[in-house]
Amino acid sequence: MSPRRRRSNIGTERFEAAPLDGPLLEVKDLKTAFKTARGLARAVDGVTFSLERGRTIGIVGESGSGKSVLSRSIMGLLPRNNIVRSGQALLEGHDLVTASDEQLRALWGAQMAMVFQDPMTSLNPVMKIGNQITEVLRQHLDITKDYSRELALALLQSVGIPEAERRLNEYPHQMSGGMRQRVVIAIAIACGPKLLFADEPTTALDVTVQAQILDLLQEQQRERFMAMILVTHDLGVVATRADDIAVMYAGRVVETAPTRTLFRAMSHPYTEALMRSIPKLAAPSHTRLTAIGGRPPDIINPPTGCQFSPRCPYVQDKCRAEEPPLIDSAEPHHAYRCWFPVGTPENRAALESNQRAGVASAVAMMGAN
Amino acid sequence: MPEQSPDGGQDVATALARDEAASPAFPNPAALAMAAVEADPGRSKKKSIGFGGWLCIAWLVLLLVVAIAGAATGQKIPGFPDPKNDVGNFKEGLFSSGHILGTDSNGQDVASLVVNGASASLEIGFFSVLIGFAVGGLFGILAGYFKGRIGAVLGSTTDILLAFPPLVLAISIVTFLGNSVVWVTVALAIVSVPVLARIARAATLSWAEREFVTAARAQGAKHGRVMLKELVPNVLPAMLSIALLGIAVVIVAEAGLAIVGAGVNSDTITWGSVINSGRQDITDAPHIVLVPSIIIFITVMALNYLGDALRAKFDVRESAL
Amino acid sequence: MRTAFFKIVRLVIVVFIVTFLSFSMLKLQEAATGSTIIDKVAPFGSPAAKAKLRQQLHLNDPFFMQYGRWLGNAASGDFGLKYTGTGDNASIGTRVSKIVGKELPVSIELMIYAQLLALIIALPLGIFTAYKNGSIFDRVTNIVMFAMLAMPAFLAALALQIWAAKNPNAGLPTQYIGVADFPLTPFTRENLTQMLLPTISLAVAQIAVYMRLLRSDMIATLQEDFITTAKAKGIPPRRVLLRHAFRPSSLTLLTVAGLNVGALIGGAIIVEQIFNLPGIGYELVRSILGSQVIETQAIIAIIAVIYVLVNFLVDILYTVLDPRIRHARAIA
Repeated sequence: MSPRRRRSNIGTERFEAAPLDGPLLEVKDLKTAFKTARGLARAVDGVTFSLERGRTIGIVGESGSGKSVLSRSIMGLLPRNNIVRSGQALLEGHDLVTASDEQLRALWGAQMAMVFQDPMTSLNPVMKIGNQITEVLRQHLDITKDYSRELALALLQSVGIPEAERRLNEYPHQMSGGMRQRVVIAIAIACGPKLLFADEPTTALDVTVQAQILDLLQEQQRERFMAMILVTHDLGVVATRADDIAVMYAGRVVETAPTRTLFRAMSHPYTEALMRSIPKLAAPSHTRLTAIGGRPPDIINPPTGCQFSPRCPYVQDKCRAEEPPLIDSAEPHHAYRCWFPVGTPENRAALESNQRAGVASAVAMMGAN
Repeated sequence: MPEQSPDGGQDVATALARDEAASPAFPNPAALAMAAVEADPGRSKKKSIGFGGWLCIAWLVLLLVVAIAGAATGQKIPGFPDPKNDVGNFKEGLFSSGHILGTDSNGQDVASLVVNGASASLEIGFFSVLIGFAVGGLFGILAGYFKGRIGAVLGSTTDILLAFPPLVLAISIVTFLGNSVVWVTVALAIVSVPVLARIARAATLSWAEREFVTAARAQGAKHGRVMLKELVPNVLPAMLSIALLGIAVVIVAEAGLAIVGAGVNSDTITWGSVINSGRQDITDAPHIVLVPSIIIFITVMALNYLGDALRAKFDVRESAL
Repeated sequence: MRTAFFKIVRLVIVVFIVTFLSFSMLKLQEAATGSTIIDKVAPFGSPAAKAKLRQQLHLNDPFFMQYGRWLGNAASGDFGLKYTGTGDNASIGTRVSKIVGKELPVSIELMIYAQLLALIIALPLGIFTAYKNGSIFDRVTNIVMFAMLAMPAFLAALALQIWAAKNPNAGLPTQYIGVADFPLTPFTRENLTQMLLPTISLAVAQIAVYMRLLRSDMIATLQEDFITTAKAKGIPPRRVLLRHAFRPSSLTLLTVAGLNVGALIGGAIIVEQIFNLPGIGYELVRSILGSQVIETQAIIAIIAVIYVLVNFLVDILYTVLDPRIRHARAIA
């Protein structure tokens, strides 16, 4: 056995040490708030979900729903000084919330990694691509410089970068956005993490390369049996790529379900509204897309009752007074936070009474239905 | 070159940083170099200038009153002994009777020297920066607006002036042309022209690309009108904050010129001349040198502080981008 | 390549103009004051010596020929004479090139010392305060730096001189003490003793400039996305700071350090003057006071050309260090 093989095995031993049963990641009532001049901004407000090995969960919501903060909070990447966190995020049983920086550093890049939103800014502009990849390899795996370079080359090839050899010696600005995002992915998967966060990985890219990058992520995820948290504002993105979906609104999960179930039997009005905002190929051209009226609520002084009530077409007095809990539906693994879930007779009645009363968001639904 | 564009903003930023950084062109590099520094994040949030700011303004107003009095009376401010004829005991220390700041080796009252010297020192500081401001501002705006031949010619002129180390340029102008207050002022003005021109040019370059300027042009506004109505109001804040620092730098430069023997001739009292004449007694009567030096130090600090505050207020770096 | 070529052409043009301006100043002075060069450099010369001098300096030639001759001589290292004689010997003197050759190294040594000292103090301080942005240490440092920024080199020099005079036990001379082998060999004990106070005086304001510049640049850089990427790779903070944040921030620092050479030269002239340090700035002042206009002219031209060259080198270095600029320019 060659010495470099033996060395690279030291790195993989870590993975064998972890237990193989139970979910990879369990997030329990995770809360994250920023201290601001106006008060605490509750960006993530009691999120619970779990993720099995090799599976993908899509976290969907508008900007400001707390979905990006959630992924950074789980990973522990937020600055410590002006932030309040509580709850648990267990990675193979180890709580990431209470972990020290030292402990997190051993996990970052090695066990969990992140693909960031904007490849234009997430690569170091004055460092060669090759070095940015070998850096993470050498940080976590006890390997020689030459071998790390070989690995980097293989990684670049595996993420579909042509002329990878030459690219190793190039700087980020010499590459297009799509290519850069491939490099970011190569860095993230370099040490074979078990958990990959993809934080709006295609938002900053041209429409034409978005699908390629998503396909690449999915392919790598399957090949390397990684679990992935795919954060996006676009339900369409996760529709075919996620096993489960959690819809976030104002820092909370308002609906969670396996992907098929969600698309078949969505229950939360917000999920429904997101769905309406996806362009559909089947629809006649020039069909108006329904934008969601109003704005996400103020997370420093949130409204009482249901967070979505100010924008909801089905809103009733009960919604404004009382916050709905996460209710399990008849479908397996499906839960939602709504008093008048979509598709029920109560929901229908609520809409009609609102339309009679002239509630703007409800009246707007008349044409759409 | 679509791949370049994301970094384009960065390049402009670097270019501006370099242009602004070009300002520490005077003997005291410090003040103007800070132009390249983004306003202190802590301080920029405050919109008012705070207690420190008012303290600085009070100090400068006091100096201004004294300077005007000195200029009006021909450096014989009533209440202070005539610095040119009053002769007391030699080299008296601080707080001696009748001479709160002591006397120098000619028996002249240091307090009187410093108070009367304020007029010439501030005059030189103010007028040279004023000239530099007007000429440099004009050069800079023209060079930034007409990017073609005029821009190239004006740009090269500034570059050549910048090719002389500032103090050396000032020394040569003063020694070769004359050492009256006027010539010293002119010398320091010539030195400050390229600095202010570069700032004005950098600011103009960034503003000239904005939509409202294009809009004004599209509506048929003449070049002069566009520059006067659209560019000058936006370029001024950046220049003003630099000009404040510029005054500080020129005051220091005047003292520097005096120390190397290229200062204002002996007819006029300046802070620099007091410092220079006190240097021979530095071991037995250090206060002669220290009093005017510390006053310069405080004045420079006050001007720096206000310059910083002004830059933070107008968010110069950001608005200039 | 094209840009490199243009840069060199530009450099040559600037050198020509700068030397031309230095040369013309003398003529301008003659016109302005009415006193001739001969009156200045040899006020006590006999008529015969003055005539000889006139011929020696080719003052009867047309202006541009004089400039050409002067430039040609300067290029071969002949900057004329510093005239020391009187009467019939008024046309005799010491070669300016010899004087400059002896004294320029002292100034360069002083400036390098000051830059080194400033950077040694400013770099760690700037990086650390940026990392601990908002801490008490950061705030105190900022106040101190604000004061140091306002401290002109002459104030620092005078204050240190007074301190040294009051504390003779420290063994630091208030004035330069003549030693046989000047310029001194760098980093010897004697050399450091002589140079310490001048170096500190010159470095004080530079420390504040570099430190504040680096701090604010680093704070901005530390908020960049690629720093989060580095952090998310599990890179330890020390490496994130030095390898990822410092390198991009150091580019601005380099530019300012280059541009600062002009200020440094000015500061060195003043500091040399205060400490009687026999550098080129000190000699410049001597020549001015002694009306040695030929020497003054030569020294000014030499300093200006050195300054132009330093800025040229900084520009090149900057291009080499920042890959973005390197490629942008190569393509543009």
